[in-house]
Parts: sequence; structure tokens; C-alpha cells
Amino acid sequence: MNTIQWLSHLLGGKERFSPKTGYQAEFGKNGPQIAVTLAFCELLTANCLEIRTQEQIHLPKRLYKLRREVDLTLLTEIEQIVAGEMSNFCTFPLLREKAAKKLRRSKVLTQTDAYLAEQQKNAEHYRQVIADALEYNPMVSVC
Amino acid sequence: MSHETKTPSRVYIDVTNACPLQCLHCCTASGERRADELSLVEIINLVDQVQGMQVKNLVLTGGEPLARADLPAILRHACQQGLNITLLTNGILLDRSWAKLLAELGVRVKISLDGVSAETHNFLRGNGAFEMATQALERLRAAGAENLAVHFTVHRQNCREIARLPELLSELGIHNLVVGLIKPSGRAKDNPALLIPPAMAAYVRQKIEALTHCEQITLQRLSDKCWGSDTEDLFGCPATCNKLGVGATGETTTCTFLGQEFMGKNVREYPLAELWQQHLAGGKCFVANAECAECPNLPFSGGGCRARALYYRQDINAPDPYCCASFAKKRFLDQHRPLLEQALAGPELAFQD
Ligand SMILES: C[S@@+](CC[C@H](N)C(=O)[O-])C[C@H]1O[C@@H](n2cnc3c(N)ncnc32)[C@H](O)[C@@H]1O
Ligand code: SF4
Ligand code: SF4
Repeated sequence: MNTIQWLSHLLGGKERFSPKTGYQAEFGKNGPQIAVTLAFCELLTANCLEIRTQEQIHLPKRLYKLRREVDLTLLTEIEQIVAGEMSNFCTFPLLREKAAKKLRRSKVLTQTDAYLAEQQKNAEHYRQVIADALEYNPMVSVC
Repeated sequence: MSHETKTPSRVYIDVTNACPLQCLHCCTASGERRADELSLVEIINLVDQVQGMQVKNLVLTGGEPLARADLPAILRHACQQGLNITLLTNGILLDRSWAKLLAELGVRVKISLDGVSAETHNFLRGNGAFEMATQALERLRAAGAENLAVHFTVHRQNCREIARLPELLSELGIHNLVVGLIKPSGRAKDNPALLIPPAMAAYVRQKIEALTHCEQITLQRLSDKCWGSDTEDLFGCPATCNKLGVGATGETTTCTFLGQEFMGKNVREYPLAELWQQHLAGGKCFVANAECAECPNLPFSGGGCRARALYYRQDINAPDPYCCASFAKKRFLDQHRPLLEQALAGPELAFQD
């Protein structure tokens, strides 16, 4: 599945089509960062990440790493890019910078049958992911 | 409510084992009709027994139910008995006359679609299956059938398509979506690459739950309210409490996914109500083993899916590893609740910490 379609469906983005260029990805300047944050939230709330806390002064307090058991082939493309940067413990800002750079270079952003992801809706969506996690009820799950 | 007065929430009848498809995941390993399948008279009699037990919901499935030429007689009779009928079909044989009949009878029709594209669906079900299933839905809509649903079985090769289901459903003009996870049963056991690894169960379930935010669809999960220890408000494996299935040759089961080994006595030999009472009197199909019994979550979870316990632990009384994964997620979320609460206000700040 095309990641921009995936994002678009999660986020309620609209399809942009022009006869000249066909379908195009029109992430705003902050699009990759927002997409990375969203993917990170998804992985975090699905219990795919380990968290280590460091208390030293001047050092980041919270470090994240992908759990060994995570099967990368099930993740969406953006999640795979994020996960790929997480083999060692790292901070989220560092991870976001590295993953966003990769995302900008990846074909994910240059595919022609792409969709527009609205930034505001992006922001709303990762809030939704976190809000769902806070309400999580393991009993009501599919059989 | 005492057990004696309890009736199954629904009864499933596999009206045949015949099927034009040979899906890679098929729990009943369907394809060939069995020589000793229940006759029309026997099924009609069974429907009467279901009604007599005051069961409200009857699901007709298979195999492929439409492969049975006398299905219209079964449907008509079941409707006359006032039962809520669900027909579970692959749609391959569903031509205009079937669509007309099903619309007239007001039967709820669930069509299996296991991919948002022909490629994914047909990978599992064979060439042309997607096109025929979507045409079936079109025919049903054209005939005026109102109670329609898409049944999507999530497996390892289609789980990246979950977020695109709302788009597919709106293209098809369908509102109701039923989602179930692939179970290690029947042919799926011969194709283990289709199974979702337990470590990814929480991730996949999260993608499914996200669909509840889509306004254009109604998501139904295949989980069930269970007759738990002291409250009725628990969710658990329906096989341990409140559903009953009848196989194509009359054997009973509380869940097809448990396989042949767990098939009970035959409706040809005992009345259905008696078989149900025997099941209840026999206690449960699940008696938690030591590991499960020690779990603080057992009273709430009912232990999860027994078919998965059987497959992954070779013990029907063992923990279901997906259930354990869900609780591991719950523990993780509880442990990091302050972080998540901060992140709700603004993930940037919380994650920078
Ligand atoms: C056994 S089929 C019978 C009805 C019909 N032939 C059909 O395919 O819809 C009923 C449903 O069970 C699903 N199913 C089959 N094997 C399964 C498995 N191993 N795990 C979970 N669901 C399965 C099918 O995808 C289908 O939606
Ligand atoms: S899942 Fe349904 S369509 Fe596929 S082989 Fe089994 S009975 Fe037939
Ligand atoms: S054994 Fe599994 S598939 Fe069968 S009813 Fe229980 S939870 Fe559902």
C-alpha cells in the first residue's frame, strides 16, 4: 500500500490531481516531521518500543528503541522508515530528524498517485492515537 | 441467569462443505462436498430446533452455502420461523436471482472480502474472486438488499490494508464492516506465513480499532460478551460460553476454529438442546492451566482464544499469546501513562523530555 494513501486515510486528507502532474504528494514543509511523529506514536502505543530513562543532567531523560520481536514487514512504509532508525536507543527529536530526512529522500514522497495530508489533521490524528491508548481496553478486541 | 436457562447467542450451520474456491486460509478446508452431508429435511428440522431453543440468531455458512441448490428452501423456512438470518458467502455464485431472493427475504448477507485490491484478495482466494465478490455486492444493492456487510479476515499479507477499508467500503456503497483475525485452523495451519505473529497482535488490533473513528463505516468485531464468573459484562472467547456450531455432516462444535478433534456429538443422534445442555453441564471447554490461572487478568479476559492456545501452546487450557500481548500492551501503557498524558497535550514536548 502506498504510504501517502495510508496517511491520507488515517488523516482524512484529500486527493490532489492535476492533468499535468497526475496525483501528487503535497506535504507541507513540516509534513515529514509530522508523519514521523504519527508513525512514532503508533509504534509507541502499540507496545512496539522499549523506553529507557536516563537521569543524568544534560542528557536526554528518555530513550526509545524498537523491540526485537517487532516484525517490520507488517509495518507501513513510514513506520518502517522510523523503525529502521531505531535499532539503538535514541531520543525522539534525533530520531525524527533522521527519519524525516530519509522520508524526504524516499520514493514515498515522490510517488505520483499520492495524496495530500493536511498538517492540522495530522496533528489531530496523533492526538487521537494517544487518546485511544489512554482509553485502551484489552478485553474489547477482535477474536 | 443460571446455566440451564442460557441459550447460545447464535447457532452456526455449515450447510455444505462444497465450495468453488480453495482459499489458502480456509478453516473448514472446504472444496469437496461430503457424501453424508445433512439433508434438506434434516436442516429444516435443525432450524426448528434452533427456534425451539429460543435462539434468535442463525448463521448459515459452509463451505459455500450458495453451492447448495436447496438453500432457498432453508432460507424461506428459517425466515418463517422468525429467526434473524445471516448468510456468510464468498459471493462467487451470487447471481441476480440469488440477489433478488435474499433481498426479498431480508436476509443479512456478509460477503467475504479479504483485500482492498483484487491482487490481495485473489492471492488468498484465487483469480477472479475479488471481481465476483464485488459484483455480488453490486447485485445485492441493485436488488434492494439492505442488510449487507463486508467480512474482512486480517492476515499477515493484508494487514497493511486495514486503513484503506473505509475507502473500499465507500466505493462499494457498504456501511457495515466485520473484522476478524485469521485463526490457526484448517488450511491456515498449512500456510503459517499467513498467521500474525503474537508479538504483532497488539499492533494489528490497534490498526483495526482505529477504524472506529471512521464515520462512514460501522465496525463490528468478532468478540463477544461472555458469561464470566460473576458479571455478564466480560468479553472472552465465545467458544467457552455462548455459541454453537453444526458442521456439514451434523457434528456439533462450540467453535469451528478448534478443528475436527473438538467436534462433539452429532445432531443426527441427539436433539440440539440436549447437546447444548451437555456442553453446559460438562463445564467449560476451558479450565485455566496453572500459567493462566495465575494471571491477574484471567477474570476479565476469559483467557482469550482457545484455538490460538491450542495451536501456539498445544494445550486448550493454556494462555492465548494474543491475549498476553494485549495485556503486555496494557501494562506498558499504564506504566507510561504520565508520558502519554503529556503527549496528548503536545507530543513534541513530551517526547523531548
Ligand atoms: C469458512 S467461510 C464460509 C463462508 C464462505 N465460503 C466465505 O468464504 O465467506 C466463513 C468465513 O470464515 C473466514 N475464515 C476462513 N478461514 C479462516 C481462518 N483460518 N481464520 C479466520 N477466518 C477464517 C472466511 O474468510 C469467511 O469470511
Ligand atoms: S473460506 Fe469460504 S470461500 Fe474460501 S474455501 Fe473456505 S468455504 Fe470456500
Ligand atoms: S476459540 Fe478463538 S475463534 Fe473460537 S470463539 Fe473462541 S476466540 Fe473466537
